[in-house]
Amino acid sequence: MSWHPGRTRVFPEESDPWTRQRTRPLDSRSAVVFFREVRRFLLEGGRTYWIAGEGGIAPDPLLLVSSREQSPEHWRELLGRVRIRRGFTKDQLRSILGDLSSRIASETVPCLLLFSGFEPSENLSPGDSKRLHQEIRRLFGETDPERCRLFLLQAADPRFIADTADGDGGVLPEAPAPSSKEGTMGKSVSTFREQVEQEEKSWRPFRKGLSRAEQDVLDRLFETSRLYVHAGGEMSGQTHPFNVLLLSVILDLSRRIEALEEERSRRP
Amino acid sequence: MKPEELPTFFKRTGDPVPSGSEIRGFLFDITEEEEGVGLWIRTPDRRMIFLRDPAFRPSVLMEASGSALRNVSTRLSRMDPFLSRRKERWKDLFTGEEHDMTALVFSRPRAFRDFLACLPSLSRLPVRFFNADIDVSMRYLCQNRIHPLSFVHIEKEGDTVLGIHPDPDRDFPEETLESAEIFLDGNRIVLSDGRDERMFLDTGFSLLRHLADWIRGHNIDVLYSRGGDRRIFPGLLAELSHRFLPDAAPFYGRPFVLSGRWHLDRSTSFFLKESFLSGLIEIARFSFVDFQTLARCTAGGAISSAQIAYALQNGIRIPFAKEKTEGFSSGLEFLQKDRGGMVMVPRAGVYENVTEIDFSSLYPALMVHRNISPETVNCACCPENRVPESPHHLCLKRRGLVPDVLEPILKRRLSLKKECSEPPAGTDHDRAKKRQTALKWILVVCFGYLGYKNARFGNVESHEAVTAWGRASLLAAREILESRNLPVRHAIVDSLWFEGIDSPDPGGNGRLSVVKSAIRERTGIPIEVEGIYSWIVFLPRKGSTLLGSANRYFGRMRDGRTKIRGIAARQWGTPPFIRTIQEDLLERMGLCERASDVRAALPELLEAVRVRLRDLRDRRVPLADLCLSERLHRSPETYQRASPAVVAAQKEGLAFRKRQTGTVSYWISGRGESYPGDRVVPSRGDELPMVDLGDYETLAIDAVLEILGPFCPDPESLRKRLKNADPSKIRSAGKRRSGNLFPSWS
Repeated sequence: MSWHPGRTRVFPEESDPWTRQRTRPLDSRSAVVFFREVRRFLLEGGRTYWIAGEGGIAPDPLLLVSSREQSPEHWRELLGRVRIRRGFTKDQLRSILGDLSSRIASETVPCLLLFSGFEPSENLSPGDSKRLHQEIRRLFGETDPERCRLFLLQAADPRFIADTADGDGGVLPEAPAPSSKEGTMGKSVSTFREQVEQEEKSWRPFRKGLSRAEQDVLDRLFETSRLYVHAGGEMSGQTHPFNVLLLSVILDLSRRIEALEEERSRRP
Repeated sequence: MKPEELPTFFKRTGDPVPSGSEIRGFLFDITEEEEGVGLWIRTPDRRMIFLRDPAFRPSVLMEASGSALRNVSTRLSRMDPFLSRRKERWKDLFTGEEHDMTALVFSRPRAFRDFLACLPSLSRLPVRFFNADIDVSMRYLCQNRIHPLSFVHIEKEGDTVLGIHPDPDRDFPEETLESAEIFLDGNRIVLSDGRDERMFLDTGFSLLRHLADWIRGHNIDVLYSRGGDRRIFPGLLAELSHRFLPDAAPFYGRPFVLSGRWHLDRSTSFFLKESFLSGLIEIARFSFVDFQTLARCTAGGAISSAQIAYALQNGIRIPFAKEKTEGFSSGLEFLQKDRGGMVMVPRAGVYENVTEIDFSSLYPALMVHRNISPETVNCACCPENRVPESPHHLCLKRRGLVPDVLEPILKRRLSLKKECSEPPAGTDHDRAKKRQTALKWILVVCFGYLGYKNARFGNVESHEAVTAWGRASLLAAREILESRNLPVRHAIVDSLWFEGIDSPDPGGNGRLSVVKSAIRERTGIPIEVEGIYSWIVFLPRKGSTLLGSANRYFGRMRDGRTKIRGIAARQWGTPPFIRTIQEDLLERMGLCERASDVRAALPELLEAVRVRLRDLRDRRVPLADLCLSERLHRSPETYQRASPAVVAAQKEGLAFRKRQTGTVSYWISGRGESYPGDRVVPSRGDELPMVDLGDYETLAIDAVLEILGPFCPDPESLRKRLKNADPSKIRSAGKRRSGNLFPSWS
């Protein structure tokens, strides 16, 4: 296993509780680099466990895969290597950590453990957060780094938007804003509509290269695709949103062609 | 006297206990006594009898090893020297297996309260507590299977209860209650019972005594207040405490409840605000919380108490801290399951003969019909009973707790709704409506509670199973409609809009009834017809002409009603002047039976708008009607963008604490001003009110286009026609910073 996260290790505080090295919270730029490293780890056959408490970076699996660099089959395969579990209270998180520890003991492939939402928040008191950190350290602190690596994720700005194009031409999906006024009760994954909108955003460089008239046509194509997002949602987790977007555009065009043909046949 | 005892100043003295070995009446109130509990029974001849049940002992369950058990028992024995232990068998909700448990039985309610106070520190020991933090009165009600306000038959000896038996079929006669209202007039307390009103001018103990005398003299059963919990009584008692008990803890923050009569604070009671006393009494039929606590409960608290009561009565142990979590899911499964209700985006435009149908209480009905409960999702026995398009499955062998609790509530609501639409002779239509509204709230929150982190019987996987079945039901309904050549134009979670039916089907044998029963047969959920629209407009989404917005539409139904959603007139912060313009237009459009009639009436409608705009230009609109309002959820300095509301809040000096929200009202004094502070004038402040008439005209025209635009092939031409109505006036009125020159300013 040649995966080395290097300087992208991200920890909740100024210093890493294990190594006491200075680190920094996750902002849009470091998020892009960090999640690209995680993708690389998955590509090399590793497995990622993401344990999420309430109030931190929401556990969106789409943050860990990119649309451009893999085929749809590959995309599915990578998502299959991700394991996610959410806990909403300190007791739930503690019980999840116990389960995780027994899972890791039986894993045969290298594992990456991501913990988000463990920082003090409206849901976790500083004391509970500290106890959970100690529990993580007790359970996983001694594991062989070649077998299992840990990352505690904390966003510098919890509403960070990682839409800076990465070096490979891929764009990270927009992270759903977790810090609403009432905490993060609700969805973890961005809705299918948001995924399609994100996909549309990722084609901005292509759009820039088109003429004004062509840009209008492209905008209309994307707009028509949104008429079918409810159907696309039914394909969630089965194919990449771009495939649905493409099929929706073809569907709408065929529908319009049929309508035109029907109109023409009715004309004398 | 301790501050806790101050409310007992208003305690009722019960009527003499009648002789004989039994008594019948309604269970009006239940209070914790030094020994056991006290019951306040309201007899059919309106007497209030106080009885005691000293035999009642609260208990908690414990699971621990021998040494830990001994350790905890020793610590608790210091609180209650008469603490006893016994062995009991209780079921686990998730596995259904029976466990041997140790029950600790407290001799007095007060000892149990002391235990609750130190429960957080005890729970750090290697001990698991069950059925721990449940109120004494709730335990008593659950143990005897009686609801507050239910009619009971009590066996007694003297004033001591020997046995209590409910008679659930008798309704509490709310019309026989004597009520009064307490409120503040300036800083003076006023009491009124509708006939007699008295302002109290004295202070301190003298005031307290006079208040108590008045309440006793008028034999008040219900004391309503506005701010009684937060202001009136705490203020009164704080003054007394300060004078006579300087070291006592402040009274603020606790509900002020009375013994033998009710204090209901309209400002802290959700159900009282939404559904009045009738609704509250209806909720009491399903909960096991004493009435005054219930009045202060949220809808979630009420459903949660019903679930706890079900568990206690069925021998299911309730853990002190929720530990059950979802299982590990792969990224693909996570994408598939973490989804909400389905929304089909409409194509924006005007449609005719559109029928709107709803699934009746879709999510609660699905929980009951599909047996969705935390313990039935992903059971070990029935992997074949899959939830559509979801990695979950549901149990077929075991009935869930949540469906069992919800089923009677759903049935009761359906019967009340029927009573509302076809009131039987001699029934109170208004009361039935209030009661069904209260139940509606219970059903609305029960779905959210299924996934709520603090809900005892919640699990996010059951929440996901409900939304998955919701999507499947909506798709099934659409398939049935389209197979009958009824094209669906729009759908949101539990409602569908489709074309093709032009008659309301009064006999119940027509096409609509056939469709309704087909959907019901397929999905198991009853269907209600919201109405048939003569015409309906699905408004376009911002920046698009093709895509409709899911929740912005308006239309006229065949029976003449209009329905509006999401437009400016429906929004809370819209200035009254603009709201009136939209409402007036909609009223006029409501007279048009076809969309073509609206198009034909456009000149007349525009003329009505011109009159309003002329009023604006001639400064005949009161300033109060131009005030915009907005709600801010954070302190103004934390916003990145200086929106008008944020600037107004900053100018006003608003600052909120964490999780606090606030409202800001302001006038627009020039949206084009370069300095943001010159763009708005807050309504609360020292600044002179100033408005920019040009900006308000633009706002008004936008609101008009929102409604009339879809009926016109070129909406921007309407703008020109309204803008250029009187160019000279617009120019003069458009001058910025017009000052407070409004003659009718109020």
